[in-house]
Amino acid sequence: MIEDDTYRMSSQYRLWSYSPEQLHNQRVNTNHLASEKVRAAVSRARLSSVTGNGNGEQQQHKGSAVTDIETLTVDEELQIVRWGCQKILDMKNVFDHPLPSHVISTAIQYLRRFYLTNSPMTYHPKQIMVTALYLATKTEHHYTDINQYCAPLTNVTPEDVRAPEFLLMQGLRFSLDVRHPARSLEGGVSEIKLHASALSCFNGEDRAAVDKRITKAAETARRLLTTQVQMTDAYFLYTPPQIYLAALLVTDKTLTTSYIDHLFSRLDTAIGPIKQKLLETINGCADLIRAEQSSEADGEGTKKELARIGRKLKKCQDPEKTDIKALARAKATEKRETDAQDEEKVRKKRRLERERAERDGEVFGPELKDVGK
Amino acid sequence: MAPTTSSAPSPLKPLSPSNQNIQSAKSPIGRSLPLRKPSLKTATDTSSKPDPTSHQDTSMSRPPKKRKPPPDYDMAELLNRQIEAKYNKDKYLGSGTYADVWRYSLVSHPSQFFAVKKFKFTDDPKQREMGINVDTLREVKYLQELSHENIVGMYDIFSDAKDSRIHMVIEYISGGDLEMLIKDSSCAYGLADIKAWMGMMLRGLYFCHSNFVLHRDLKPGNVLVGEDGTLKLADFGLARSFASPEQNMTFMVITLWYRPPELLFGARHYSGGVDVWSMAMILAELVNRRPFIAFPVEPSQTGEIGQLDYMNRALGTPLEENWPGVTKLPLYVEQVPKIPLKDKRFFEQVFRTLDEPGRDLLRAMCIYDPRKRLTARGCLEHEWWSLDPRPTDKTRLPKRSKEEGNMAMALGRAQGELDDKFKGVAKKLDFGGMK
Repeated sequence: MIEDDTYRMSSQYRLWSYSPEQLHNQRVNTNHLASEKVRAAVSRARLSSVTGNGNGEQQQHKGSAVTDIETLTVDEELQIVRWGCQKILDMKNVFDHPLPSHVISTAIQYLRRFYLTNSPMTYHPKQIMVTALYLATKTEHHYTDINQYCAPLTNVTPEDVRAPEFLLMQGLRFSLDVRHPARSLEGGVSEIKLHASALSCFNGEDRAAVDKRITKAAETARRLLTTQVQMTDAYFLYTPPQIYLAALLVTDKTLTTSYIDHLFSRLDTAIGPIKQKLLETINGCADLIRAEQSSEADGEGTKKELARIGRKLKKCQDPEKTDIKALARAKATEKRETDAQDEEKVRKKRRLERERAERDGEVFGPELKDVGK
Repeated sequence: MAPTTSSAPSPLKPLSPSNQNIQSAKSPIGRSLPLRKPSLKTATDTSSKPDPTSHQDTSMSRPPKKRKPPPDYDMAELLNRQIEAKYNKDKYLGSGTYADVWRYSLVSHPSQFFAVKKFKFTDDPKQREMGINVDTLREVKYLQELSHENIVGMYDIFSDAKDSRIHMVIEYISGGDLEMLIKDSSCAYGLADIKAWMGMMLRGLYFCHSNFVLHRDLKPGNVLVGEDGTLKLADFGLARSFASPEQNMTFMVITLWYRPPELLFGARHYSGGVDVWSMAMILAELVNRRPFIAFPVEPSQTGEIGQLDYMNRALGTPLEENWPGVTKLPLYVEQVPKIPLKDKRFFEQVFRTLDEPGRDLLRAMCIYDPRKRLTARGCLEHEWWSLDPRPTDKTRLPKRSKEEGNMAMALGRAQGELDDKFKGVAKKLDFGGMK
């Protein structure tokens, strides 16, 4: 089995890899569904306040109420999720011991994955992001005590962190493993160093200079992979090696291309088309990273836009989902209450099944002695 | 009820995690891969079909403008309930300190059984405060990634409507575990059988390692025996992915008798070698039908010192000469008396029923220096496999006669727990509730 086959067995490939169209459709669907739910929930909220007044005339107002809410667009949702990802990145250094970047990256990917099937209109990222990071500390073997975890975060209690945990797990489809390109980069860099003397870009340069250049490129690429790449859809669209090569390409183009040239030069020429395809793919990913870099440069514009979306979101936030803690508590109570009922239901179901089984057993009618009676 | 189509967004079949990619272009790829057995296919398909009898479904399909709205389940909760509705609770199998295990059947295929591991809530409020248990998360994480004939398969996860405990739906394996098989004096087996068992376990382990996962709790009790004789590695609660070189790992893993010397000496950086050592101990135990290096630990102690002493006497003294760097390990203690490393002759005397190439493999698997120890792949490439006797065909492997409920013990046990520490207590299960 080659490495690619192994990767294709990973949940990241099986559940979280998309073509750009699939990814877009997925988000459109989620947005559409969430918008409908928000409208329904708001109209319910208005209706209940209206019926509370006992005023029949205002019932008519209700019809229009459902349509007058302006919900977020897919793009606006993405901006809000991006904001959440940025916040997670900022959380890296608030703890006594800075969290390792793979924990941060995992948390960001959790958040991005969660918002493929959930909308920020239903659950605001500010509620989910602290849980995503906490869950990542647990799944990435960097476990922190929940109280210590909450201490440096303002206005976050352990209950805030715990309440959406299962919800998040469900949104993640219980796949907790994230394969990071930063990890692939380390292997790639060792290999580049190994082949350095044969690379065309190092034309007789001395070893020290060569090593320096590789190390510098690796450092920049590493930073790219743990920051800007995290703000893109790269993980959904590309494999980890493709992403790390793209990051290297953005960092040091001649080094990366001469490395790829060297690798292919040792192989059969018949695989030329594969090389072409690989370069196209990597370039596509590199464009994604460059686009993120240039949008980041426009900090002021993004800030204004975010503020606008924030105001809009306030009006179209699902009123029934704002308090996740209360929802979690309600669910727990509901579960306790249905406990007794369920027991009864199960017993009844068993009885019915038994009876049905007995009936089914009598396909040739009841026993003869019964017929005779 | 007509099956909903993909074009119309239905509240029943929206973007629920388990069906979302089913219609997408990805699924043909997924199908061509040997990911899960066909039984899963049925399982997944049922999830996407709304069960007309289920009351949540009908309430959800009504327009939400009713006077008293039905409980507005989240998409996530709805999916959760759909998964739960796929299964029928069948019977209680038993429980350990860590989880209760039940047998469930598929509603659509009542003869298709699954084991459902219900993770227990801890009584410790401190632990409860932490949210979902870390061991549970780890097991979920790694089983999700590993799909192999010799690794226990995971199909679904849901939280019970009653108590919100996490339920993990895994393969139902009825043949008990390897520990029971070894201890069952009525079950006779030979070299070819051992070869078959070791082969299956090592293939499972190699698969873990090639997916960058360390099991970290291999022992006969964590290897399940399938009805068809297939062995399956289970219990991934202590598993982790290979750490990057600068990252520390804990050395407090692997049940004492199967723990390699580097962990006993407190190494924070280690690799697949730790699991290979455990495999060596399992092989030794299979041959002699008793644990090879087994310090009788008291409940009050952790036993590393005693285990090291037993190891010293069993295999010889770990020294700088045979293991460069050993004295630098954080918890290194000098072993006395100094015993030269045991040679071929010793292995011949102790493992008489094992053939010579087999003994050679065993020795290479329990070399002190982890860098010189065989890798999982190295084990599989050993000449032992190509020599007579051929491994027994798995359908003709010896089995235990009685085995119901055993899965509970293997699965419900706490990680790293040594059953014999509480001889007779931990294994006493109440099967009174069983039919």
